[in-house]
Amino acid sequence: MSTKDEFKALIEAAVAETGVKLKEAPAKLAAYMAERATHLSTISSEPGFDQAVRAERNNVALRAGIAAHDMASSVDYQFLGLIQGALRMVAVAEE
Amino acid sequence: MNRTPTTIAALVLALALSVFAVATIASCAGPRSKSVTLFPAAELAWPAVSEDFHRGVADGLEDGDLPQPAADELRSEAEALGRALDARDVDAVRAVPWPIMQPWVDRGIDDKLLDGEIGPGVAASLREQLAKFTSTIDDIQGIL
Repeated sequence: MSTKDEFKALIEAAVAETGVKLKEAPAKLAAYMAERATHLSTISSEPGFDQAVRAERNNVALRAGIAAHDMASSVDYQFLGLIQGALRMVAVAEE
Repeated sequence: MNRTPTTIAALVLALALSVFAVATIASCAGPRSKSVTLFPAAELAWPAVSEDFHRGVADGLEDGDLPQPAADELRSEAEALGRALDARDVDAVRAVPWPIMQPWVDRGIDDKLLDGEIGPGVAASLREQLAKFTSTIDDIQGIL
C-alpha cells in the first residue's frame, strides 16, 4: 500500500470515527498529505523540525477545510491529532 | 376549475414568492457554510502565523526599518485579526489589512532562518503555511 493510499484510509477512518466534515475529497487530501510528508521526511534533521510538523498539520487543515462542529471542537482536534501523528510518523519512517 | 385573471395573477405571485424564498435561503446557506468551513482552520493556523508575524515586526523595529507607531499599529491589527477569527466575524476579518501584514510574516520566517533557529526546509513549510493562510483569509474576505 502506498503512503497516499494509507493516508486515504486514515482520513476515511478518522472521518468515520470523529464525524468531522471536510470540503476536500479524501483521495485529494491524501495526495496533498503524502506530498507534505515527503517534504517533512527530507528535513527531519533540520533545526525547528517541530515547527514544520505543526505548519504541515495546519496546511492539511487549511486544505481540508474542516467544517466546525457547533458544540464539539474537541472532535476537530482529535481529527487533527491523528493527521499530525501520521505526518510525523511517515516523515520519520521515510527519513 | 375556472381560473380568472385574478386567480392566475395570485398563482404567479405565489410562484414568484416561492422562487424568491428558495433563492434567499440558498444565498444564506452559501456564506454560512463557507464561514463554517473556513474559520476553524484559519483559527488553528493563526497562532503559528502570528508567531512569525510578531517575529518579523520585532526584527523590523530592531533593524530600524519600522518606526514604533507603525509597529504598534501592525500589532493592533494582529490582535484584531485574532479576535475576528475567534468570533468568526467576516466583517471584522474584512477590515484587517492582511496584504500589509503578510510581508512581516515573511520577514519573521527570514529572521528565524538567518538566526539558525530553523533550516531552509522548515522555512519552506512555514511559507507554505503562510500561503495557505493568506488564501483562506482572501476567501473569508470574499464571503458575500
